[in-house]
Amino acid sequence: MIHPSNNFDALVRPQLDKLYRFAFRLTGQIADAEDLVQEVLIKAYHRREELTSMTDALGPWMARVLYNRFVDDQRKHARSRLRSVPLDEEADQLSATEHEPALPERAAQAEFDISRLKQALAELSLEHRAVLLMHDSEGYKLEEIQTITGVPLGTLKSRLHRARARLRTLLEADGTF
Amino acid sequence: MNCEHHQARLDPYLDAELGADDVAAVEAHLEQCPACRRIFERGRSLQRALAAYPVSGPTPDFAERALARAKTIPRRPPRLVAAGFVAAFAASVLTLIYTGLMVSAPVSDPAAGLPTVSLSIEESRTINLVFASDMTIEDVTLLVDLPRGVELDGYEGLRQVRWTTQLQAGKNVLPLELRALAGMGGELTARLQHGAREKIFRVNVSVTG
Repeated sequence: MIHPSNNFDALVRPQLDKLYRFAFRLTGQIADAEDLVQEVLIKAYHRREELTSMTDALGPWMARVLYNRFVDDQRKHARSRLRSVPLDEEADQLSATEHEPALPERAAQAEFDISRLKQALAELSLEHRAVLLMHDSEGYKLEEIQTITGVPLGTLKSRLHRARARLRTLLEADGTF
Repeated sequence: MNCEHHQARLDPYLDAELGADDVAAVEAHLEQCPACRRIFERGRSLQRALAAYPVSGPTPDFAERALARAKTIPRRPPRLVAAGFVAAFAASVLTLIYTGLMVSAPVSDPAAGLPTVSLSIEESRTINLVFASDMTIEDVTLLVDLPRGVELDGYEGLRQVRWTTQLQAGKNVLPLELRALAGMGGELTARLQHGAREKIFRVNVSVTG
């Protein structure tokens, strides 16, 4: 007889590589990606009796748990949206922190700069960045992204289109393109 | 067919979502239109860069450690709300400052008595909502209600967007990228809620054709 704990390992281990890649796409940091995967495994272990019946749905379920956890964390702490700033800063100085003008030396660069791509991706909204990286970097189909995020297909198509357009605008503005 | 028609099909073309007739039409147009070809090449370059965008692998033995740890962690207890913060909330959240980011700061509309942000249709503009708090406050709900014809970047189709967040002591900045879809506009309302207390801030969004 297989011990339930070993059965759990056998069920979820095949999902871990893809799950970690997904987490890294969302967070961009190894430690944060590992934390997210760990949270999913903890939740999965507490529901291990249900996992055996999921078969092909297990991967999407784990991805959905991970995505929801990521979004909750982001909104809970509002790391991506609500930022704290020192009390003595003026509102006009705050405004200068968004959309910095292109630096002349950047505009002169003709080659595609991967670090600039990373920076531009960070300027996208959470939702745009997520759909773009899931679709264009990880190769998820929009229908799979719909299953994971719960966002309607039409909205996802619109987000993907706008995310690409916004990314191109950001890269064009600083001469990366 | 004009360039706009074909440019709208470049992303579906790159995603291999077009039928044979549309593929042939796009390719024929790209053959004879240098401007659209440049846009196509940029799109393809970006698509390739995103496909090759690197993933840093996990730390050694991560899978083993994570699987082992998953079996030792108890379920998370429900979060407790610090009741003392409720009474302090109204007095501690002091001001809202808003500012247009891209071009100019919004101006006051004397008739409405509200600050005004002007947008053209299809124009995007980021405004900052700045909440100053003299203390850290956990579990604050932030509700943004958008006027008709205006949507928030990343939240297409939603008239109301909600976050649960923590206010830090000092200024807390919420950047909102607004996009005008139709010439309606109206009042944008931001509500900060904590327990039974609420603070409401309003900004007039004017959309011009």
